[in-house]
Amino acid sequence: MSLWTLREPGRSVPESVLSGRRLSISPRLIPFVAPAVCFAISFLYLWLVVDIRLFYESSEWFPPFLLGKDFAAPFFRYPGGPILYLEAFIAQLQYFGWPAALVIAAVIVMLGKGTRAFLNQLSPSWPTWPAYVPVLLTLCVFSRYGTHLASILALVPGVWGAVGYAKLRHGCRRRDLPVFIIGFLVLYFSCGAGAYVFAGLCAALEFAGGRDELLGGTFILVAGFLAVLVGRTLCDLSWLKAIGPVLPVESDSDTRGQLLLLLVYAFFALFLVAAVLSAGRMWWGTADGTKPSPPSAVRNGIPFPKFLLASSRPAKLLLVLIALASLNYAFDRPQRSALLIAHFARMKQWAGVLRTADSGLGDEVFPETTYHIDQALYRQGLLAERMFAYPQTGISLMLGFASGPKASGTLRFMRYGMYYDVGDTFLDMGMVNEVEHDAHEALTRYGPHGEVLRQLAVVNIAKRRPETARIFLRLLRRDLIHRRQAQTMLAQLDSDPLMENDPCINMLRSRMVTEDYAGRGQTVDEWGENMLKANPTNHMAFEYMMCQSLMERRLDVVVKNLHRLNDFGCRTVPIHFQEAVVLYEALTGERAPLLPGLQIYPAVYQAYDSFSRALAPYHATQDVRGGSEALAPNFKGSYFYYYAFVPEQQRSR
Amino acid sequence: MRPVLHILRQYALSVSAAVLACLLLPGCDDVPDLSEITERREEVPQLEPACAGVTIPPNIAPINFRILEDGTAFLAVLAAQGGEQVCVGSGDGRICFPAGSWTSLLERARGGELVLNIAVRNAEGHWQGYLPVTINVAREEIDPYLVYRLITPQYNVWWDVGVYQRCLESFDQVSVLHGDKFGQGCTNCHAFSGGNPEMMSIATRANQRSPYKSACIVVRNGRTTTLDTPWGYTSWDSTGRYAAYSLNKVRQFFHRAGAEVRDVIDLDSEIAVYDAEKGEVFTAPPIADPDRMETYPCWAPDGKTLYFSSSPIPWEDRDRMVPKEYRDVRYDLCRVSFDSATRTFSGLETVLSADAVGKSILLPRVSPDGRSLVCCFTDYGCFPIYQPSSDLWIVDLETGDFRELPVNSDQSESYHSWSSNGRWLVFSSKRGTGVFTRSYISYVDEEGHFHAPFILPQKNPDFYDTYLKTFTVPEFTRGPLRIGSRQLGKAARTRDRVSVVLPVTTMSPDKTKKASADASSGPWQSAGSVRQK
Repeated sequence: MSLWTLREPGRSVPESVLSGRRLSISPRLIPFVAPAVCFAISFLYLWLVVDIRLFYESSEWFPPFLLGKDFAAPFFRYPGGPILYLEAFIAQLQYFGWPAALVIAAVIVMLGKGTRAFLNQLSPSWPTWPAYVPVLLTLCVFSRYGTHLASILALVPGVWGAVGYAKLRHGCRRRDLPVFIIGFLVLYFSCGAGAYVFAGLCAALEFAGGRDELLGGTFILVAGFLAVLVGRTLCDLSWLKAIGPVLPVESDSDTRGQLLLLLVYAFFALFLVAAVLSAGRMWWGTADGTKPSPPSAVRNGIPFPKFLLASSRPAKLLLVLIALASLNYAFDRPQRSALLIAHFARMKQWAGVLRTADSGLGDEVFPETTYHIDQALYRQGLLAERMFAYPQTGISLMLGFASGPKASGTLRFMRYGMYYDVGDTFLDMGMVNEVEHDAHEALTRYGPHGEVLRQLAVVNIAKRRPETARIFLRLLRRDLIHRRQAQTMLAQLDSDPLMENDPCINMLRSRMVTEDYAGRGQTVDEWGENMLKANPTNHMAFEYMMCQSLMERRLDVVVKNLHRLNDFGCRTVPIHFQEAVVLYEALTGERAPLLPGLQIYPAVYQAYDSFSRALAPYHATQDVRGGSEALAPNFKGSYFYYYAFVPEQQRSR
Repeated sequence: MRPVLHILRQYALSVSAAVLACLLLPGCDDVPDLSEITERREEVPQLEPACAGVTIPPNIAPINFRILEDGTAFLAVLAAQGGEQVCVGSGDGRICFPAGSWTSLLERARGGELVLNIAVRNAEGHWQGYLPVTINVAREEIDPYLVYRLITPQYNVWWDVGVYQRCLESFDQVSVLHGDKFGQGCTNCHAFSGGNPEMMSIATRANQRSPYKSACIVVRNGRTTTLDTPWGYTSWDSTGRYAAYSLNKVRQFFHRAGAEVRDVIDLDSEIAVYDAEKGEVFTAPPIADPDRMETYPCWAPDGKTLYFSSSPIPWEDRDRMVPKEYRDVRYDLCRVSFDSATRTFSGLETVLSADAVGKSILLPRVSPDGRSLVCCFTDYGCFPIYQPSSDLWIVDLETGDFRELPVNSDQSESYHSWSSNGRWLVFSSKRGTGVFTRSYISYVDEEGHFHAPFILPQKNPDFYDTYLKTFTVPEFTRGPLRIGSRQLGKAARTRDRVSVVLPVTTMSPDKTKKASADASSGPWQSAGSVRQK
């Protein structure tokens, strides 16, 4: 009987059905209804609610995938490798959204069906709904936006393997043990931790109702032994990798949804626990002191707690509500917003970035998200007009470039984690060597992701190294998403090896730094000077330098470089620059030199006066928090507010 | 669904192409005899990797290649003097010689040459021949194994780093030590005693997040000893007793402009010697001068002379990065005599001065006959692999004459190693790409002439077209390593390490090199000892 039972025994069939006014379902189709509904719900949830597209290249754990034997071969040399290869392939479908949702929904349904089939083998008296627990938990894992597809895929063969074992089971140890060993080895090698699920469930089958406890115990021991033998001894893996292949148990695993994923695995372990307990009950007797005879125990399997039977309609409704509440609780909305912003930024849909940012970002805003917002603001011509309307940190604009010697280590590694997004912006600015550096780091650490290969190809074209570019493009041609782009670029290289006629490449070359700097990090003014020396019309470098200076409170740099507005034909001074000028004048008592035709709006002076007046009482009492809260409604988007209240550690983290 | 269709289509195309190739070109019986091809183009066919005019050893694996001419079918006929020939047909221009026929052909051509004839069927269905290509086959064999490190172009982070042993007579490659054996660490600076695979050392650098520590593993006759300090550039003497190694305060930095992003500088360095029999470390003022940086040690084959690169230290602050004078650093080529009985160094002399050549002289490697030395000349600094200006030069150790090798390109030529018979030189080169270092092998004839080099052959002619790793530190060995990757991995992980107490120098944490050096008047005493932790 399925969770969504259409006809229950003992209940009268509704008149409407009997009269034929509603669609009646053939009894042969009834077993497929629940899985179909489950599939539809999972598919729609993943596609529309979770938005599976957002997983594509969303983190450093996202796996790259290339066609060809040389890419595939290493996956088939260690336990769990084949399932990681499959994961890498399915993960590429996430770029398109619905195909990935379709595949993953199918996987989830297979998991539910497998669990149901296993429950039938384990204990026919159990209700159906526990089969949907792993389905629900798996959907919850996706709601957390963690990259755990391989671990989920590995469950399916594990569960179905156990079902297969139950069907092949002879009840003879000499026959069943080899079947188990072969099954375990195949599963351990092909899908890693899925083999543990197989082992646990097979052992549960043996323990259930006291069929063969010795064999069940042997399964557990043999599984542990084989994992160590194959993983540790034969494949020479580390302990963690040998014991938990494809499980996120290592220190650098993706922590999003990690606990929920482990819960899915723990759920299957519960069957083993229940089976062992039931076997123990047989050994030690029941509460009333009697021992059930083995045949009836085997027939009835493990008793199911009565309070969880949920046979009544309200109880079923309650279960559905619990499921919905779990999904709602697990759903990580801030993460979704952050990923949606990143997605729009990659697609260069800048309006989408700002729209999502305006709709709410949650309490904690990642520097990566702010980086994308700044990127969108710049592309929309609003960076120096509105950037302080969004949360800003000192690192989010330049991500450690041009932040002085302080910005090393952690910022650099943060950039590597954002390999997908950073390169193009800094390439546009002309920072070719920096992008080459970061892209190579990403390539080394995270593998041949399409975007990294493309960026490296562009860098090498810009540096007039077409043969090197071809190496990256030939690989890119084997990427499922970027292959057409690679073919186009290769064709361009064939016809024009140095791409002298390509306007984008020419623009990039015109912006490349010509004066070398070899040191431990430049300050923002040094960096800007260096960039603009190569090309004084590099507007992006100018604006990033100015805005980075604002964030570092380097008012002198802003004022000193205002004259460059003339190089870009600006007729007005952007509002945040005006605010900086007003602050500069107030703080130094000097008049900022402005080019003829450019002026500071009187409204900015008035805003400053209002801000100063409002701030004065809090300033006198050093009540930063009180001032921050009181002035936020009127001034939060202004540079004055940022200058006064954004803590130093946040500005130059 | 487009990706799925693409995969199906791709593999379907591959299979179809293979079937067609089998049907159309099952062997030379179905293609015209070369003599029947009357249409001939008066040019040499474009082959990748280029093999025209190169000299190869008689025991090398097949030189497979791709014909870069347009055509619908391709034919390669490789013939030795005496008429024996191998004929290979291809539908896509990839020519892969069968190993058995290749070996037999090479044996027949030893000391002579192979003639390669290429024919291509054009779109109209006519076969066209090209001018023949000559491949010289040397009489002298090459050491059968090459050990190198494979690593992606390295900047700050490393991952998936491994040292591998490649059989040059086939395409077999096995792992010697991979970083995943000790928490994704880095392996580097492997060195052998005269190409003896039983006597070697390999340094490991631990990943900061792993529980393992950096080390140097010394292998002698199948037994490993893990020392608790990683060695730098290392040279073993021919007896396998003394290993001279550098200690480098090495720093990496990056350029904002220019072709090469990376650069490396030693803020300080010196050389120490490990006595493998006594398990002791010692150094001496000639190789650990407090005012100079000594690096790249290399024993002469007789073990009586140690060659190395040495530069005065132009900066006072030995911790400051990046010193302004980094472009002024140029290394001299020096040598010092060594008495193995008393373990003393004497008679320091400059073989070739950096001022005299206007270059920094690095990586000296003495030929097995001890008569010459090949080294790198770079514009400045200590790290030739990041210097596009780096070229290989040879120095005659008897006359002091030096000349540039004809194997150089416009990109960096760097790490090199002699075969044990002194007839082959393997070297690293970034030619063609400027980014990816590959191993090239050049023949050195009896007159000391270096022949056109060939790239390390691969089974798949397209291999280098998409290969993203670099081949670094190529070292010949006379046989396969007996010690396995598992055993070396265990040695890298072990906590049972031998603690090496180094002599006190400026490289020591307390920076009192001068005092200790001054205190060492007379024969330099061993300041090192080895004790079990």
